Amino acid sequence: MSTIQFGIEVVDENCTGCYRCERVCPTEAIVMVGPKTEALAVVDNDKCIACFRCIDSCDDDALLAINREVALELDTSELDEEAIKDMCRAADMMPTHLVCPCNNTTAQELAAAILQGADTFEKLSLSNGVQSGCLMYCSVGVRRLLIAGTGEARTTSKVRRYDSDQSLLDINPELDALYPIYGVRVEQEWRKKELAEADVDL
Amino acid sequence: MTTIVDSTIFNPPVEPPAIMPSVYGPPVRPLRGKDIPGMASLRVRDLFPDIPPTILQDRQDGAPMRRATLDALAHVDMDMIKPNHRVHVICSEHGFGIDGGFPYANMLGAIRDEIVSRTGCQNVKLVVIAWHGRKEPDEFIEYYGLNDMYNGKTVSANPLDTGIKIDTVLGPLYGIRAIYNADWIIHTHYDDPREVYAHRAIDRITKPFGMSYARMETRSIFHMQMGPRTGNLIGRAVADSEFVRSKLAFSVVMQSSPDGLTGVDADNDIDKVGARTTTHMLRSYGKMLALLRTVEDCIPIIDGARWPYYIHAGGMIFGQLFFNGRDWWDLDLPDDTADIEHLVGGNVSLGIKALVLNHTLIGLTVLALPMVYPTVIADRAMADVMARDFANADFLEYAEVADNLFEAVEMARERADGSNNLMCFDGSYGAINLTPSMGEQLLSNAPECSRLVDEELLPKYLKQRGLDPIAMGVGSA
Repeated sequence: MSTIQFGIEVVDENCTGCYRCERVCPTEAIVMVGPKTEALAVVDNDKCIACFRCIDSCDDDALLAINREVALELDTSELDEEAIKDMCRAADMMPTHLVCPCNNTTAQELAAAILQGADTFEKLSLSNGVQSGCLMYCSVGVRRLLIAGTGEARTTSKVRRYDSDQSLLDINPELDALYPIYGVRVEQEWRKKELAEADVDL
Repeated sequence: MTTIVDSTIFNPPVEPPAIMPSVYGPPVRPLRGKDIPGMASLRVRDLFPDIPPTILQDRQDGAPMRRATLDALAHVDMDMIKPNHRVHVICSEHGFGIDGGFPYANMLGAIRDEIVSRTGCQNVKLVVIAWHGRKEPDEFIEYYGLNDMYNGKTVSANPLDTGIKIDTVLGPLYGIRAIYNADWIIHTHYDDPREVYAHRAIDRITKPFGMSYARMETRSIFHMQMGPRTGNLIGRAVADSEFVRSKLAFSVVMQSSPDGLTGVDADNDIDKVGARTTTHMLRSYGKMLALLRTVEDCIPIIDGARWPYYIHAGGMIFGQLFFNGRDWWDLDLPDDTADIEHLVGGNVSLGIKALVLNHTLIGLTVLALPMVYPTVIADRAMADVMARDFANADFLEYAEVADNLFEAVEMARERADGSNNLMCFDGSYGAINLTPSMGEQLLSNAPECSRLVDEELLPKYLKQRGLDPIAMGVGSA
């Protein structure tokens, strides 16, 4: 379970309508409203996961953090553990693989959320807080699980994303001869073994 | 064997590098770890006399680094750079965390001046990259006077910026467009062995191509999708790409040891300077790393201008103490897993008994610290910053908050069964600010570490990386 402890308040008189906050928000919690030359930021705090990207992007002190408390808890009442395991394996991850270090979110939690209908980057963030930290290290893990679970990595926000998502097992094992010090074959064998033996632990 | 420790070997605490003000940290407060009553300092060259000595007597004096940079560049071919070309000198944020950051800045300034002088090219831009905060590169530019050094031509970049597709042997990976949007790029790096548990001294020279210079997807692949060693292939794949090789004019490496900055190396051939960098790093830092693996009882004081894992004590980052459960440089030791998080997380220090957080930046997850060790935050100012740390949302549920640094230390001592073995990670090179009892622990273990590295480990490390110890001027084969 993760707890969102902040929301965002817009200081209208400081907003210069630069659109930066809208472009960095991973959950579409901030949108610019109004004619382009007069648009101001508007926040829907029900969609905010307190990643603070908007505050970081604002040069005009137009966004403030406000206190609140919202718990995001995974519904574990009806979990299909085999389906979770299959999705993780298809994404080349053990169910316990830490996808999001900032939010302590594992692959199995994301897989469970996808099975429960979270089929975009944004819905996954709102279901369990993934991407509420650096936005960075979880990006490919989330992408791979979305593809494994839904067939595509859909996103509706304006966050810039590129379709590069290689994992260890995607490396051509013949590269081992060209780059022996990196242990490609050895690590691929370990990954396969760990995937075969891994279990869900929710 | 009883080792007699000469107590006169301790000196008064050294002045650590000043903390650069940042919106990503608490306000700079006057109390530092060195101000804790009973603190002393121990020179790293009293631990290991053969640690290469620094060329700097005063970290604010730019002349030695400038001279070393120009000497290194004298052997570099710059004929490919024409007056009408655009050149990007790429720098990475961690260079500014080394001994106060001004040595790195001075090296960057000298590089620019030499390019302009020798080639007539005026369009030489400095690309300043930081990994997470949009305002962070601008903080560096202002604090280190980089805009003045580069005649107004500086650019900020971070991993969420526009990317550029780079075809590699691993398929398409993405760099940050602002870096590569030039005729020539100059790769500037350093041999500080930070994150030994990730790079393992495997091809360190190419690491920035998969991290600093990369889009968030490529960084995610490096750290989270690959194995403990294969992660380093990401940087190598990008560096070896036709795209990068067509733009890479030369590479410059700031050399260091636990004593401080020792010089500069440069080469048109990234692999040649890479081999020298690996050797220099292994030789300069091997003994201190071995020593940190012997620490059995310690209370670290985290007190610097970077994130906790990346703040130095005697030139060694806290991460190297925290993850001291194994020798990361010995490639004969089996990893037995392809899960790097599991491997690294399973090798945390058993010698840390409690922890004090006086000053650090937010944004990098360090929740493991208060979950593993009794952790005391020095004061409300630091706690208030931790409260809004999106990467450590639950930190305050595990850590305690004191009224001030001295109270925090007392609380930490109580939770560490009365230990008085304090060691400050405050950015210092050349010496460690610590209590004499901590120093005695280090001094008693240093001789065996020295022998072990000289006679067994260093030759082994080099051979494991395809480097001939004799050819690299290190001991015997």
